[in-house]
Amino acid sequence: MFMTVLTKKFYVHLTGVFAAILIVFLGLEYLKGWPLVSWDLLTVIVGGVFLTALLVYYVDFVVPFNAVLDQVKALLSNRRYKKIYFQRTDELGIFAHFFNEVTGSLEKVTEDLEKSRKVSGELQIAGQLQKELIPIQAPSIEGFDIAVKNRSAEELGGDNLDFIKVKDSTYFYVGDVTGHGVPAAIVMTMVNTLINAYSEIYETAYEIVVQTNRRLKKRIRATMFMSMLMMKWNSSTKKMSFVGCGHEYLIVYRAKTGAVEATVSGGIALGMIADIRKIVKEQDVPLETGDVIVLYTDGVTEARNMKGEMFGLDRLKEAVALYAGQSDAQFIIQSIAKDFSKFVEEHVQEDDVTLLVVKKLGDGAEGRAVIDQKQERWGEVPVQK
Amino acid sequence: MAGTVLDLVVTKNTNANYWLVDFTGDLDSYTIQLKRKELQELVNSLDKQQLVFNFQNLNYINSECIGMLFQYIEQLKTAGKELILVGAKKHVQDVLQTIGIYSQVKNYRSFADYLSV
Repeated sequence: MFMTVLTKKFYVHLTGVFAAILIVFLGLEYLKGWPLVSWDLLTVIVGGVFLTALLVYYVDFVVPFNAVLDQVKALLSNRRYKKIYFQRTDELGIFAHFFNEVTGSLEKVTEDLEKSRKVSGELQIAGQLQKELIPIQAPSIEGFDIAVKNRSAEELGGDNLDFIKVKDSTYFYVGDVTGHGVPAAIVMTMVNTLINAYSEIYETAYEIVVQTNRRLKKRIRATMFMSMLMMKWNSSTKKMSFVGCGHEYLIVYRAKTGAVEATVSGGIALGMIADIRKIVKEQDVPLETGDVIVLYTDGVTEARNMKGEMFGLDRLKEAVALYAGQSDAQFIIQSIAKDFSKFVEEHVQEDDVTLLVVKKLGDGAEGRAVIDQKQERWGEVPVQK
Repeated sequence: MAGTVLDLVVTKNTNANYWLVDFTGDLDSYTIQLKRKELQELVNSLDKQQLVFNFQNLNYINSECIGMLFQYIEQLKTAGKELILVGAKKHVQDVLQTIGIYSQVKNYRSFADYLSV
């Protein structure tokens, strides 16, 4: 490269100047008779030409090259640098242009990274706010042992659950909004707010769900919806009932027989049509001591392992059958979570996962409730601090 | 997921009261981006009474695409027309059944069953 620059600019100029002087000298020598000038004078002339050449080299090559080098050094040592503006089209000009292009791209990437960091920070805050919506402590219900596990696929999840105690009724539900991220989190928050509000006004899970859907449909876009399964325990009548809104099966373990029932929850997802009155219904779930209810989202059953196999309803039912009769709700849910984790191995979690286990204790037994929202992979033991 | 495919074959039978759309592949967040415009144009331009979606070769549908189906159901209903679903595989059928879409749209086990009605 350097030889090419010098050839173009410097050596050509030098050669031209030298040739011109030589021609003039020889011409004068010829015209005036040999020798015209002494060797001393010739040495001075040659020396002068050489110094001129060096000056041209310094101005035309060294100075601009150092200008480029200074800015490159500034960039590499993280100091303030300037764009380089040359009019030349030789290699130095190309190098300067390349420097400007690279620094321009770096500036754009830095700007994007800053924006991304800001959005990530805001998402973290939103995620934290959303976690505060999912109850940190479920209300303990006399006669029931409750355990919950929930893990979002992203900072903002689309799985929804809540416990609401109003007079002698306790409502609890699990829901799943289309997709995840910010839009799903917003819909989840809306539903949570509506259900909490309507539970103060209406006395049946059916009416709460119908009214929530009516309001929700007006406010979300046509492609969004939320499936939900809501349970209601009435402590006066000692009756458990449920309303299904296009959600997964209701799983019930029967302690007497060891059988695991999977009941179609029915209905239609919230937000799909304006009036779901004729499509959803509230149904009773008779329970005896030792029976276990399991609610879940499709993130559990549709999770895949490295071979592409789905965990599926059958595996979930098998796990419930295996563990439900052994111990308390916390043990049941941890055991199911361990089996789940063992199955999916290192496969990336693509959807939010939620499990809710409710075990019927004897009448009058003190209620217990544990909620686990740790973000470690299910089945992993949290790092001891 | 990027890399999944979805092919649509549209049959506009001028003698019949429907247009038929055969789906082959996966309906997910990636493929719907590629086919959304085409499907919406079909819904908008339908000049028959029914738009039939044949899911016989559909392997997968996600919740976002189910929401899109609902959107088409409503749009066609408003225009006095209807969406028909035929031939869904069992696991696709289960998902659609669970969500409750069959309370809003007619479903047939196969295209032949639909024609025989």
